Amino acid sequence: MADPILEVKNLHVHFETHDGTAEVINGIDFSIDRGETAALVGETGCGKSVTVKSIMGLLPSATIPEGEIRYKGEDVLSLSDAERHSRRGKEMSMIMQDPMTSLNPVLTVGEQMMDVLKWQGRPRLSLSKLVRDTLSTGAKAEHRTRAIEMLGEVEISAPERVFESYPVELSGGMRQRVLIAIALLSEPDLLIADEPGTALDVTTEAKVLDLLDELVEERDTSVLYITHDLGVAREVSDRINVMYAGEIVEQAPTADLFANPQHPYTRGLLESIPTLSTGIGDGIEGHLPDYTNPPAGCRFADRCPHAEAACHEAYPYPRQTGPDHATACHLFEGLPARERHESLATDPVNIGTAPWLTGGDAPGDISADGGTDQ
Amino acid sequence: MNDSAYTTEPTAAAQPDRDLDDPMVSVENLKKHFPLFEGIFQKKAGEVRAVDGVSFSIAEGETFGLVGESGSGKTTTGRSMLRLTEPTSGRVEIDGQNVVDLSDGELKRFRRNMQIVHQDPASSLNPRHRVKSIIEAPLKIHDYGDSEARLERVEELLDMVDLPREFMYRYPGQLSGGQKQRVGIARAVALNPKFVVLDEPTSALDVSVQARIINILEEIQEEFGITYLFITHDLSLLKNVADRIGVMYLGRLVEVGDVDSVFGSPQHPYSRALLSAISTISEEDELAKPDRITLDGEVPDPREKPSGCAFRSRCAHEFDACAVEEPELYERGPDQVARCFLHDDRFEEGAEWE
Repeated sequence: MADPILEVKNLHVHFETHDGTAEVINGIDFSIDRGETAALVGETGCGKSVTVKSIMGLLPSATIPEGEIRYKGEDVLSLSDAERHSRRGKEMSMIMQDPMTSLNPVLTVGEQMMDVLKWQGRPRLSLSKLVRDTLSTGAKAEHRTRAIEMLGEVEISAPERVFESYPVELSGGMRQRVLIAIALLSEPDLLIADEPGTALDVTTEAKVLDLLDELVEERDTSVLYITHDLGVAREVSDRINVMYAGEIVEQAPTADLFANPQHPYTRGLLESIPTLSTGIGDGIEGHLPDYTNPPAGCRFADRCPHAEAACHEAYPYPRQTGPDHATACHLFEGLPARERHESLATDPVNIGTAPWLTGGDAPGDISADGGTDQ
Repeated sequence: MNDSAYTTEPTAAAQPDRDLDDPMVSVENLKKHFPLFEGIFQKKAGEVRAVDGVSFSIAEGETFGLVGESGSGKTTTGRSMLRLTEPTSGRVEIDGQNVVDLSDGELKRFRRNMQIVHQDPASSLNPRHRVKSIIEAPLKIHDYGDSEARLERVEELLDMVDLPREFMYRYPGQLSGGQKQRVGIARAVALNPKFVVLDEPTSALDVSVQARIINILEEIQEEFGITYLFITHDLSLLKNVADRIGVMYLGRLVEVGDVDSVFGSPQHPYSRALLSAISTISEEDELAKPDRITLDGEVPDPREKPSGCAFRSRCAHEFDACAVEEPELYERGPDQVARCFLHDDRFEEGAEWE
């Protein structure tokens, strides 16, 4: 990790509910290098959106008892609201999941785009500035040109017309393009894309993803891509972090993850995806644990076909299973990926090795004791 | 207009022989047009032809997959077949009975033969009824035994969809998405229907749950020989569940055929583009689909469909004839038809197709 733009370290996020404290994010670590696209993959309720909202600082009702979020080396959790506000939109911006509801229906696309430009980098708009803005048409005209230019860049064929349109007048694909345009308007260094294609049709989704890919490539923007679809993650990302129940259970470079999936959850997920050549698997029995009363050991143990009694007791800290591959499962041996887990590693849980590895060498198998540096 | 005889026989009602001589379900020229009104007097100003002459048949115990993007009319087709929306015209024969002709009373009685599983399990179950009364509702309506017999049947159905029996005393709000959908399935098959429409039964669910639901649906089909119409936008899923598929675009079927032929060699530019847009998780799958084709623009406004071939506004192969008349379904294999002039020998361009 030469120069990460974003580092998340041991992040915990809790919510107070009437059933007690929900420990929704339980100590996750990941980082994104400059210019890299990382994906956060997981199913409904695994905490992907909570993770990115805590990065953006959009979770007023949550408490973060522990953890660090470093953006360009600076701990954003220690910043004041105003300071975080001034970074949103300018330094990091986000494409929301649902293009149908994340645009304001009573403002035109143009008004919403101008807002971004007017507010960027400013926590509050001072009165004198407001007066100056109203009196001079210069800034406004400039903003307008910039906004229309941006609409053109997301391949909207009639940018002037769309600029004057209300969101309802646009199709889903167009709205998603507008959202991308808004997110990229102030040239952020970090873009968070929360399932940008999910609400669209396949042919439109494919186009929007290609476009996004092109735009971030041009600008060398780092992207954190949230998706539930491993197929999409495979297409867009350099690295994948697989999340389950508020923990990152496996992280690896994209090609490595697909060649050598290790965590039983990752494997179950991959088997469940209907494919063209092999068929559809059996899925994963059971459901997510109760966040207000999470299991002490592995959060996946209840649904895991390989779980032993020990899995329910001992926390499966993420361990290095390859040069750049970490898996949080007792089936694998390896040094702890995080320093804070070293004490746990002194008392290893032995439940044997993964059954799919004992039958013969798995394709692309990386020996378990390789890459123990770090 | 070119008057010369077609060298490739246009097969308007092309129904391949296979085991479809005596289909369980057959749809002929089904249409559903929604009128549009405008002005203060609500004058009829036109119509949206959501389903515009759709024909296909399904053999007993088979699954026919209907695929298309939002607005293509696939859900409207399924709903009009069951008369959940009244079709404008056409013929829908289920087990030899033309459903469109049935009177209200007859229709109600006939509904035991045809059921539907809705897309969103969260909104298709009454949140104030317990699971038992939800599954029991169709049994009561169709006078299925006494309360004891019904209870027994409910237990049987819960076993069938792999839910613990004590779940019958829960409310839908206490169930997960996958469990709710199992209740939806149990309700649909309660009366041993011959035909069930599955309207995106898994699109609201996670993939790990989807796989379980699909397995349950397949087990039920195998055991009771139910005929399914599976509506979805997910082609990879369809590849795994359907025997034959139909690709819809703006209210018309543009390609129909058995699943292996259509996936192996799609014969309509739209089916090919759809297939090419699938995201895959392995190199193997990457090779199994056509290279990415990017379609121009978006689906046109259904109120103003292009003349001739509705797909021509986005088609890379468009030529003069496409705007003039709509192509017929051309036979492209033992069980595969496609609605595209590229397969018409009258036009030179046909040679371009592979």
